[in-house]
This record gives sequence, structure tokens and C-alpha cells, in this order.
Amino acid sequence: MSDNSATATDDRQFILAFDAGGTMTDAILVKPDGSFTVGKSISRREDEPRSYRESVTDAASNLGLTAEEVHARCGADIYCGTGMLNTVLTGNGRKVGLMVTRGFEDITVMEGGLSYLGQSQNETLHQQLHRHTRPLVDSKNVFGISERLGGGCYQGNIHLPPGAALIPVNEKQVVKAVNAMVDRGCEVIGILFLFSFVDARHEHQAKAIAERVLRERGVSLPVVCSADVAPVSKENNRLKSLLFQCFAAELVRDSLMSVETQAKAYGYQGRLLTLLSYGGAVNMEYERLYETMISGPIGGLIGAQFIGEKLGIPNIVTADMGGTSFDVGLIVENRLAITKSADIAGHRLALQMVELDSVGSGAGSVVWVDEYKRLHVGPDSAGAKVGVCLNFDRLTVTDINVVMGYVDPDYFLGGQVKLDRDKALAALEEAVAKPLGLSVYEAGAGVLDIVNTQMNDLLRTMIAAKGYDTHDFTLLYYGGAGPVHMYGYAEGIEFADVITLPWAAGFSAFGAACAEYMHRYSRGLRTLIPNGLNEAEQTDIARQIRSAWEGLEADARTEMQHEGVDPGKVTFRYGVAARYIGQLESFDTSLDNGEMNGPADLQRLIDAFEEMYTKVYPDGARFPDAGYSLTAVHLEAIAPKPQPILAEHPLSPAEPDATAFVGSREVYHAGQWTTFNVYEMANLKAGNVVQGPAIIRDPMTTVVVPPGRTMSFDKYRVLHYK
Amino acid sequence: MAVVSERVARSAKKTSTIPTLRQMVAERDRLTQDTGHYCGISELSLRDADPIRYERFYNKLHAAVLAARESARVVAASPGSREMGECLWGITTPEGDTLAVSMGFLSHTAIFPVAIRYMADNDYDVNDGIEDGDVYAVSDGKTGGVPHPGDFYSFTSICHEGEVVGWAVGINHLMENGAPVAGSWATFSVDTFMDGLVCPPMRTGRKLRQESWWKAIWERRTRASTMNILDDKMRLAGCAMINNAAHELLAEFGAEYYKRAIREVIEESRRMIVDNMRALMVPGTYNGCAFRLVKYEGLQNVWSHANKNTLIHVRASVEPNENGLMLDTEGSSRWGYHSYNATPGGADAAVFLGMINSFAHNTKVTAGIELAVQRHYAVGSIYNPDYEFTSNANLWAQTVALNSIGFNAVSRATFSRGYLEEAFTVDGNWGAFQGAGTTADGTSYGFTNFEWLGGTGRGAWCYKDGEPLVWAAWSQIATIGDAEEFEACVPPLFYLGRKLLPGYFGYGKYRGGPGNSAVHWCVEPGKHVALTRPNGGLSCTTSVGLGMSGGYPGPGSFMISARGTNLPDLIAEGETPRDARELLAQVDSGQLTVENLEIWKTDCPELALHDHDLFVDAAGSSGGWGDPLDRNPALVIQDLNDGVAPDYDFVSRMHGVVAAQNPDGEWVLDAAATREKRAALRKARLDDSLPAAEWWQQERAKVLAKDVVPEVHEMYSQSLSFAKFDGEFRRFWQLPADFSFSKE
Amino acid sequence: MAGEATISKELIAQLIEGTIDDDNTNRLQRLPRKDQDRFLNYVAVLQSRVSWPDQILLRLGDRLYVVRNASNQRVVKCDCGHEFGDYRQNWKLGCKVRVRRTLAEMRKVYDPAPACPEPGWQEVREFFCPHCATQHAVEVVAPGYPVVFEMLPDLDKFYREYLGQPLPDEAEDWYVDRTEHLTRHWAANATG
Repeated sequence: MSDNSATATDDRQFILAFDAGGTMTDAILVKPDGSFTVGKSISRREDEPRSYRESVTDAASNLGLTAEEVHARCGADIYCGTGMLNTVLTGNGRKVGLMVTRGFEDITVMEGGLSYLGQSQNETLHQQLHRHTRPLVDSKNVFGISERLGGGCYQGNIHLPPGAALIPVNEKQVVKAVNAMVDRGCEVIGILFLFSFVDARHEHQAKAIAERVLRERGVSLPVVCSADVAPVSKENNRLKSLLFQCFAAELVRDSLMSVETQAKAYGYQGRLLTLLSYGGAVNMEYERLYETMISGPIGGLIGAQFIGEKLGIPNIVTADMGGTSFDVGLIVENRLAITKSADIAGHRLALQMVELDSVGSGAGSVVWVDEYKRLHVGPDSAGAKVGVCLNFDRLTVTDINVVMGYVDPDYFLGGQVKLDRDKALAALEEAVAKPLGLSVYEAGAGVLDIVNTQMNDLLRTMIAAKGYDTHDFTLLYYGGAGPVHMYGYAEGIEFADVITLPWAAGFSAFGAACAEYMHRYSRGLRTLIPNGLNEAEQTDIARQIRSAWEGLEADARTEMQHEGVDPGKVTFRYGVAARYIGQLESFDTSLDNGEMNGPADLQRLIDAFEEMYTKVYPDGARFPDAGYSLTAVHLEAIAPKPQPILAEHPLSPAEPDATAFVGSREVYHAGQWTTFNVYEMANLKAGNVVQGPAIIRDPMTTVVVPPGRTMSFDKYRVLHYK
Repeated sequence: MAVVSERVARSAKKTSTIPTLRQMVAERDRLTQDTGHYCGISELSLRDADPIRYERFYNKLHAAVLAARESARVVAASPGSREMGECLWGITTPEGDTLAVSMGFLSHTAIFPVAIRYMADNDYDVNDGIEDGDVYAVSDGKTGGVPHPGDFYSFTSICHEGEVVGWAVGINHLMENGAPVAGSWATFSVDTFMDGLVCPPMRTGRKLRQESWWKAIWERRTRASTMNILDDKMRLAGCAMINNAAHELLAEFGAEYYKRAIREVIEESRRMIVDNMRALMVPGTYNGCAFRLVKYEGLQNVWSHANKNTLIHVRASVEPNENGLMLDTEGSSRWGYHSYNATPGGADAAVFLGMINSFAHNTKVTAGIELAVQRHYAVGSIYNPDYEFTSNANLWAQTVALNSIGFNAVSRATFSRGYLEEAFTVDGNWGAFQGAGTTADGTSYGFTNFEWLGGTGRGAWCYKDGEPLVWAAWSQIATIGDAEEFEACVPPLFYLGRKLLPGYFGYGKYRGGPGNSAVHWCVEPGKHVALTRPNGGLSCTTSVGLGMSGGYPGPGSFMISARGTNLPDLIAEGETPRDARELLAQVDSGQLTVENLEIWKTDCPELALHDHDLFVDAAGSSGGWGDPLDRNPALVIQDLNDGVAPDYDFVSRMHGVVAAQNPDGEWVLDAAATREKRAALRKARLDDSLPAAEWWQQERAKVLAKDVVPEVHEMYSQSLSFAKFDGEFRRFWQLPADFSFSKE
Repeated sequence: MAGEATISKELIAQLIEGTIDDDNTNRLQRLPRKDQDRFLNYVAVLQSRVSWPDQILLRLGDRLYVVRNASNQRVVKCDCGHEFGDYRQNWKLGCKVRVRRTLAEMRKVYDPAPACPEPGWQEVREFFCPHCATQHAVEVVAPGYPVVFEMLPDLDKFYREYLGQPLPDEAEDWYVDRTEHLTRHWAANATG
């Protein structure tokens, strides 16, 4: 049992975390002292175990260890990737058969009319661009089943109650449909009935019938109900969640299992974990595996949450600048901010997903000017080709950073690659300076200003749109290009603090290593709390909530035990989805404990809701007279798992050692050439303070410290910008 | 008292330094008129001096309105606002000219300057003054330019040092607006007094907060007060965010920069739009027409002056010129005692849809479009009534056709110009239903189901078939919402179907995307439930009058009420009807028995429903492109096998395709027989038709004899009262000078 | 920079034939600014596809063009070679016309039954080429409605101001609706 546990014993304190991206698979090997080393390999979709092998071997070799030695001492092995997303994008998933409520047979083709997901406003205006996303199921494999349950109404209990039986499940039709699906070679069966999120009994009844038919025919296909995959309102989003699970997740599960097999072959004794789109780690047997769709970017946010807890920073806004995009995420009161409808690859899912927003401006973004003298950055990107300075044919942001002196052409990837500044200079002159009638360096400064402003605005709106104040937030920036542009995108926004870490470039993978072992559970509810309830009624409602939580607690213990966790070690966090009576959208409200026995506890819940609501909206948007409605209870179940430790270091003097000083270089900054001192990241110590103008170089990134600013290393070697 | 004296003080101050709204509007008009440039901005000096700072300024402005919608809409109570495109936020100049808009039904910006002009003309800022954060409610067509009262606007003022420097505006489509006909389109109104809650611009709040009395208006004058109050809070929440953002911009860039930049932004986009028009169009004159029947006869006994049918004639021509293009609606019907009248503002809100789609998608979406698209709405016409109390409750039912005519002109132009990838058949064909009820426990409620307003099929492209449910001409974010949400808004109605309707589109070489159909089942209505249905283009006329290049225009929408049914029997068999087509087939076969079956090709009056009654609708169809005999036979077979066009006899005749079903029931083409059939059909075309000259002689005789139904007679008498159409009509039929349709 | 894009004649031919794939369609629709020389390439492709030598000046419909014919007139011409006469007259009046007036007749072109326009208020007019019987246009209008002149192009302005390639035979009255010449002539021959 404990052999099969995700929780480690003391002699297993290594943590392995992987980010299997589109091109590279990064491995982070965290040692018990919190320090870590990086390994890399080419990503191989067709043979993920091999990428895993090469990547982990590379990392282990940095410590003079073998993959076996590392795995033997490994307490947690987390594997993030984009395989599932890739399956959806390429359309190479399972052949799905689908049963829907009779009369909804076209739902997969109509997909609610959503034909513009992922488009900018200008694109949506040009409606010739609207397109349906390629369906994940052949419409000939969709079958209507006569059945109906009522869902209740928003006005409250004035008509049939939620779950009222209107039309029974037509068994004959289910049998006929399942036989047809088998005959047509379907590999997995999905079921979507209206209002199954209120009451799943019809879906489960149809599933039972289907499994009986499959047994009789001696075939075994997974049968998946929407109520088990995404028990929330809105059938169109619920359908997409169901289809992702059927089409992609069940397929990718096999590949992930083969990676786990590889890990075990190396002597790893726990379960291979991956990350949920709303944070938390689960193993590959997790029922709703589609929820791990964007495990990659999640890593960075979880890392931020981890850093926040270590440093006592409750509110963090993350800024991740890579080659193609700039991603901004929010941590509020040490929680990952969650959005309810996730748009992925042209599909809108009923999926809890971290608040993650991005603009298409990264270091590799292409820079161009149209004939209206308007400067454009992106969306095209050079990707691994970097720019004109390496082997791409169009001007990129990196080219400009090289021209301006921010990036050292001779120290890219620690000098492994030499960049051609002259070619970049010529390209900047041609593509931007001439058309805009500017000098080449004015032009370069202008482009960087545009890029920085786009990112700066995203940072502002991401916080402002949620009604928060930047003064309450710390900016944590990372990604290969994050530290290069920080001076720009952080400009003019008053944050509580602006920080990064020496390993900024590999922060997302590091974050994956920080993930807690957590599942999130929700159960639909239709409970009204009108004003003027008497004590007995309030107590009754409190008990309803409490028993709903208890139901979820039981589910959580069972599921985690099944995953090899000791149920005794599981702890819980509690929340509800609430709204004013009449509203359509519910707002997640977290509570500091699970006490819910009487009027006092109920009042605590209402106060928590009002506090959360007024954080987001002006007072004029409150509507307490309407009374309150609870639409769901939430539960987060957490199991212990080894965490990396942020090592403390003895403080050195503010003045860096001579060994840290590399030399100096001319940078065109703020409209003039300025001499920047250059320091080596590895040789800067806790306590050191680097005075701008300065550049801190690292094989993986470059930290720019403008004149008049400082970068100080605290006892964790976290870099603070002032 | 403090407030009063403060306002008086400021009014005094105004007379000295600060220009009044009236002066600002007059100055805007004069400079634009004289120079042809918005506010006389002939040089984009801020942009040229520092393009980067200029773009940064606009990015912030734009980001503010986008963020306002994303954040505020979840406050809403109505699916139309939260789920669908039925809401919008914008920021404007002091004169009400749009600077930036959020996602949503963006053409509603057309009315902003109308409402501000009214406030200016009536000295709102002088007595008793406008302060930062004042909240104004607007839902009147005459004074506010509002399309129809179902579209409700909140204006909030942005002031800087006592001067109005802009407006933050929020709009959404109400679920219920308190008219005699419950819902949000008072379909049977005969004048504005039956349109429900109609507000000329009036202040309802201060300091970004509604005053207490305002809540009572929603509670006493509408049937869905909770939803409407929450929607009101939603509009205000968004405006508050925009107001804050504007003040941050004023602080960062300074008032002078702000005041100049907001005008350059509009002039800049105007120029790009004019360039786009020249780049995409072919100069010339493009004509289009459409018809919309109003069937009031026998339903308006109380208001005898309205107790008649009207065939609304929508006529427009588009002509590119140096300053953009001119859209002339002369020849369209006169206003009438029905709910389908527009105002210039309301007509603009429709006309700009296709124009923004075609010419503004690659620039900033501002009031620039209003300068580039010149409109002529003849006084006395349905677009510019010379009666001040017309009803506008259901104008969208005909103005969408006006938009389609303008948009189709662009399609014809891009087709001739060679930009085929942009050319498709435009229809405006939507549906919704609305009503009110009282449950057994006495609870009353009002409702609107917007679903078929959320998305339609797309008309055929000139190179491929149109797609199902892929766009909505009136909102750039097609979304029909979820059955689970709409059902929860209407207690006794339950879905038995929500799907595409086979065969329901315009045919041609390429077909339109199929329309939609839903079946609503009434269960335990309690004391009472009844509904009506407004529609854009009902099937007694097609959506537009002209097909594209030999294709058929898309059919209109329709409804079927089946009251007194044996539905329990069909439930037992698991064969409840799923769409309009299936329901009619089940009635024909006798499987479904109905005591009272009614097919509505015109607006239905209030229909009371009882247990097991069915309400079935069809909308969102779209037109074809090209000669049906030119359709690739393989596509015909594919549509047969996919059930998209399932009636073999029909498509065989339409496309001249011969096929047979194999043992698996799959249709297989008979190529040789198809060739023969097509030849025969071409011959039949020539045999069954007349040379235009002969046909003209016959038709002319009928015209001279006025041998037409009364509705058509009435239509001509109205349209011929406008010189332009009168001339065309007389020239075409060569009529004697004394010929007239008007009643002697 | 995107304004400089040139679209190959092959791609234009695929658009005309309806064989273009969606990736390419999407790419064309996303051009920030359309390719300036599209019209001339378009006309060149069209010219190569017709059986007659007359110079195409503008395409009006799938199988309908304004051309300069052998006798140097600007006329409307069908793919099949049939000429409809001066392009300033509504070419529909050179067609054969079939009108669907009854529900039974309309039911043959609208489906399902409730989708049919209402007889009396509306009629369906089909306009055929008298030679090849191609259906060039459909009108669904009120009885007695004048046949609609869908588009009268201003060719001189287009070629001079939009394309910068003035036509050799520019004249004052090329942009004038001449349809009445026809109806006046018909009225003169009116019987009874």
C-alpha cells in the first residue's frame, strides 16, 4: 500500500518534474536541499518514454548520478505535457459514439453557434472568418435517446422540482444505439442528457443498459457520462468536456501509463503524477483526465503559489514571457484564480481552469509595419529560429534586443550559439526605421515600447478586470525572455514588489515540482436563502450544505485511496458557488472551514459571498434584497507530498564579489547609449545588491536592471527589483 | 442643499469658460460639415508626431471597454446578456461619437450621438447640470435613437474639471420591458404608448449609483423586475469601470492630449474605412428590396385605425462615392400604426452591421463608420416617420432586411472585383419567443427565449455551401445559449428538440446553411402561460427579395402551435417530434393527433398553452447562390445521405439529379440519368417561360387594372408617394400620367 | 507589407471553380489588405475560361459578364455566348421569365411547406438565358413589382479611378440607366 503511495518516506526526497513541450522535454531534478538541476531532450510524441529516458538521464548526469539512482530516491515524479491538446488539434483521437437527449442529435454540429473562439475582436467583426471547429465525433455516430428530466427554474420552487421525471429513458433506443455504435466500430461511448448535472440517474441508467449490451456482445468499451466528467450546467460546454474525455483523454492515458511504466522500470515506487488545469496533481488513473489538458502553463502558476507561501506573499500576478507569447496569471490570497468556461483549441469546455490570459508577443514575435505606418508585433513567431540574428527571415523582438545591447550575441545559451548583430541591425533599419522615418535606435526603442506596452496593458487589465488593485499584488516574472523585458512591462505599475528567481527560465518545470496532490470536487445544488428565514429553516439549509460536503469528502477519500493515498492523511478545503436569486452566474466563495451547523455558519457564508462580490463589482452592483441562491458546493481534497525547499543562504555584503563582475557593455536604453555593468548570475550571493545600469547574465536568460534601479538578492536568492 | 448650490455654481461657471454641450455638438457638426474631416481634423498630428504614444493611448481606451464587458456581464440575470451577444459597452466623445466598443451587438453605437444631441438641445448640462458619474436611462427611439425599447441603454457622464469630456455607455436587450404584449418586442403595438417602458434620456442616478426610486420603476412597470434590476446593475458596473479608466487616461496623458486624441482616432478610422470601400467595391448603383407582412386585420378591433394588414416594402440602393458610399432607402414604405417602424437611429443600428463587418474590421471601431456611410431616410418613411408617436417595438423584424440589402451589395461588389473569398448571400432571419405566466402557486413571471436570435445559418458563398448556425448578422459573437439555461427561465416549457431543420434553406448551385428548429412542450402551466413571437422575416415573404446569381433567397421563419395533442402516446413510443418537419409528418401520418394545429407564417397573437401543447419554431435559414442545375451532383447525394436535404423528389426536381437507394439505404448517383434529367429541365425552363417582353405586356395590363391584393395595393400607394420609386415604377411599366394607386 | 501580397492565378481559378481548400480561403480572408492586382488576374482567368474572344470588362454573375463585343459595344453576355444587349439596360429584360404564383408552384422551390412565400403577396420570378436556359436570377417580390436592376456599374470610373487604367472608349453617358429605352419601345408595341 505505502509502496504504491504518492507520499514519500524520508529516504526518498528527490523530486522529478517534467514539462513535455511541443519541441523539448525539460526535466527538473530537485534535491532535498531545494536546489535543482535541469535536463533536456527532444520531445517525441510517438515515443514519450524515450523522451522521458533521455531527459531524466541528462538531468541525473549533472549530479553524477544514473536515472536508476535518481528514481530509487525519488519521492514524487510529475509529468506535464501537451499530448492531449495535440491529439485534439490533430484530430487523431478515439472514434466516439454519443447518446444524447432525443431532439439534440445536431448538438455536435451546432456547438451552440460558437464559431469565433480564440479570435481577436477585429477578427470576430469580420464574420467571414467565423468557422465551426472540426467536430470530435462523426455526426453519424450520434444517437438520440427519448428521455427527459426537469432542471427546476431560477424563480425558485414555483414549479416542478429539479430532477422531476418527465420522460423515462427509452431502453429499446439505448440498446439499438449501442449495437449500432459497436457495429460502426466506435471505440468509446459518451452519454449527454439534459440536466444530468442536477440528477445523473438517467445517464447512469443508460450507461448500465449500454454496459449490459456490451457484455452480451462480448466487447469492452469505456462508457462515459457527462455527469461524471463535468457535473455542471450548460449542455454545450458539458458536451465538449465529455468529448475531450472520450476523444483524447482515454487515448493519452495509455501513453502516460507507458511513461509511468518507464519510471517504475527505473525503480520509482510511487505513482507518476500530472497537473490539473485548476492546479493540483493527480495520477494517470484520474477519472476526468481531460482536466490535465494544459498541465504545462499551470506549472508556473503553481510555482508562484509555492513561492508566495514561502515568502508570505498572498497576491501574485505572474508574467511568463517565452518565445511566442506572454502569459499572465493570478494568485489571489494564495489561491489560483479560477475561470468556469475554458476555451481551448476552438472548443468551450465546462472546465475549471486557472485564470490565464496571454498576448501573442514573445521574444520570437515578428515585427512589421503596415502602409498605415502602424507598427505590428506578432502574431507570427520565429519559434526556435530566434530571428534574423540566427536563422529566421523576418525581424523579431530578440533581434532588436540584440541590436540595442540588452542581449549579448556571444552569450546566447551560454555562448553555445553565436547571434549576428549586424544582420539584425540591417533588418531593423529596413523593416521599421525607414517606413516610420525614424533613426534605427529610435525605431528599436519604439518597437520594444510597443511590446512592453502590450504586456503592460495585459498586466493592468488582468488585475483591473477582476476589480483588484495592483498595490496589493507582487509581480513574479519568469520565462526565458521575462527578465529581459521586465523593466518595460512593469513600468508605471505600482506593485507591492517585483521579483524573480535565478532559475527564471525553467520556472514552469520547477513549479510542476511544487504541485500539491489535490483533487477538486463539486456537486450541483439548487438551494435558496431568501431574506427572513426563521432559525429552523436556516439550520435546515446549513445541514443540507454540510451533508453535501460530507458526500464529497467520502468520494474524495475513496478516490484517493484508490490512487494509493492513505485516506487518513487527506485534508480538505471548503467552498460554495453562490449568487443573488435571479442571477445566472454563480461566484465561487471559499470558506475558512467546513463548519456548517446553524444560522451563524450560514451568515458567515453570506458575509463571505458579499465580501468576495464587492471585491469585484462597484457597490451599486450588489443586490442583497433579492436573497441568495446556492448552486454548488466545492471541496478540495489534499494529500501530503514532498515539496521542494527554498534553501536559505547566509547573507553576504551588498557589494557583489569581484568574481561576479564579468565586465561592461553599451546598451541603447531610454533614448541614449549607456554603459551597463554585466554580472554572472551563478556568482551572485544572497545579500548582494546589484546597482543599475546593470545586466545579470545567465546561460538561459538575461536580467536587465535600468539606471537608478537595483536588484537585491534576499536570503533565498530571490531577486527583488526596486 | 449642498448639491443644489454646487450645481448652480457650476452652471454659472459654465456660462463663462466651459462650452455647453449644445455648443460642442454644433461645433462638431460645423467643422465636420465644412472640412469633410471629423471635427475638422485634417492632420493626424498626434499620431504622426508620436505613433507609439498614440497607439498606447488607444490600446488603453480599448482595453477598458473590453474589460468592462467581460467583468460586468456575469452580473446579469438574462442569458441574452451573459451568454450571447445581446449587450455592449462603449466610450464616446462628449458629443456621443464612439471611440471604442466591447464585444456584443456593436452597431448600437449608432444611437449614442442621437441621445446626446437631444440632451444638448434641451440644455441638460445647464439645468440642472451634468456631473461626473451621472447615470441616464435611454430607451426612446424618437429622442434617443434607440432601435426598440427592448434595447435599454445606460449613459454615464465622464467629466473633467466641470466639463463633459465623454460618456461611458452600457446596453443590453431586456428579457421583459412591460408592454401590453409581454416580452421584449411588443409585436402588436400601434403606437409608442404600447411599447412598454420607454425612457427619453433621463437621469436616474448620480455618482455611478442609481437613485432609490429607480428600482420601483422596474418592479412596477415590467414583469421581470429581478432580471431587469440585475441587468441594470450590470450596465452600470461596466460603465463605472470605463469611467474610472477614462479618468486614469486623463491623468496620464493630460486633458489636452485626451481631447485631441479622441478626435484623431475617429478621423483616422474614417479614412481607413473610405480606403477599404474603394479597395473592395466596384463603383455603380446596387439595388435591393425586401418585404415584410404585418397581419393585424381582425386583431386590432379596439384600435380600428390599426386594424389592417400592411405589406412593408424595404427598398434600398447603395452607391460608392468619394466620401465612402451612400445608402438610399427612398421608396420604402411609409410609417404605420404598427410596431415595425424605425427611427433614423434605429435604422442606422441595422445598416452599420454589414458596413462595419465589411469595412471596419481592420481598423479602430469608432464613429468613423457614420461619416463613411451616408444615409438617406426620406421624411415620412418607415425609417424617418413624420409622426412623433410611432411604435418601434419590433423594428428589427424589417430593418435586418435593410442591412441584408446593403451587405449583399458589398457581396456583389467583392464578387465582381474578384475577392470571391468574401462574397456570400446575406439574409437576416431570426426568431425568438416571449410571454408571461402565473404558476399554480400564484407566482407571476415574464420571459423571452432569445435562442434563434443568437445564431443563424450562413447564406451560400459564391464558391461553397453556407454553414449551419455560424454567425449572426446583428452580433459578431454568434451564440444560441444553452437549452438548460433558457428552460430554467420559463417554468412550464420543456425542450423536446433543438436542432437544424433539414431542407430549410435557399437552394442554388451552392445552398445556404440550414436554419434551426426547436420544439417546446408545455407541462403543468398552472394558472396561465401564453406566448407571442416576434420574428425577423416571416415566411409569407422571403428574407430578401433578390437571390444571388440565380440562387433562391432564404425562406423566412415560421411557427407551429399544436394544441390538444396525444403527446403521452408518443412519449410512450419514444417518438416525440423533434422539429417542425417531423411534427408535420407525424400529423400527416396520424401518429400525432392535434385538436388545434396552426401554422404561423405571420406573427402569432398571444397563444395560451395547456398540458401537452406544443410550440414549434423555425428560423435562421439562409439563401443560395447560383443556378441549382449547376450544383455538383455529388453534393446533392451527400445532402441526401446526411439528411440535410432529405426529400428525394424535391431535390431531384430542384437539381436535376437522379439517384437510387442501395440495400443499406444509401443514395447512389445515376450519372447518365442525371445528365438527361438536367437537359430535360433546361428545356422545360424554356418551354414554361415567356420572353420578358411578352411577360411585361401581361403584367403591365394587371398593373394598369390594379389587379393585386389589397396589401400590395396599399404598399404601392405608399411607396409611390416617394418621387424616386414613383419614377422608377412609372418608367418601368410606362404608365399614364394620371395613373395612381392611391384610393380615390 | 501584407498589401504587397499577390495571389496566384491557380488559387483564383480554384475560387471560381469552388475547389479551393479552407486553409487557403482562410488565408485570403485574413489578408490585412487585399492584393491590389486581384481584379486584373481575376479577369485574365475568366477570359481564359470562356469560349468567345470578347474582352471581359466585369463579371456580373456566375455565368454573366459585361464585355466589349466584336462591334465594340459594351454588352452583357452569357457564358454560352448569348448577348443581352447594352449593359445600361437591365439584362433581366432580355431573359425568359417563369413566374411561380401558386402554393403548389412555390412548393417546388421551398421546403418544408410552411417555408413557402404567400401567394398573392409574393411571387417567385425565375430569369433564364433564352439560349442555354441558365437561371441567371431569382426574384421573390410582390406582384406588379418592377424588375430590379441589380447592378449598374460605373465602368469608366472603375477603370480610371479605381484601377488607374482608363478604358479607351470613355464617354459621358456610360453610367446611365437605359432600361426605359426598352420599356418605352415595348409600350409602343403594346397590344390594346
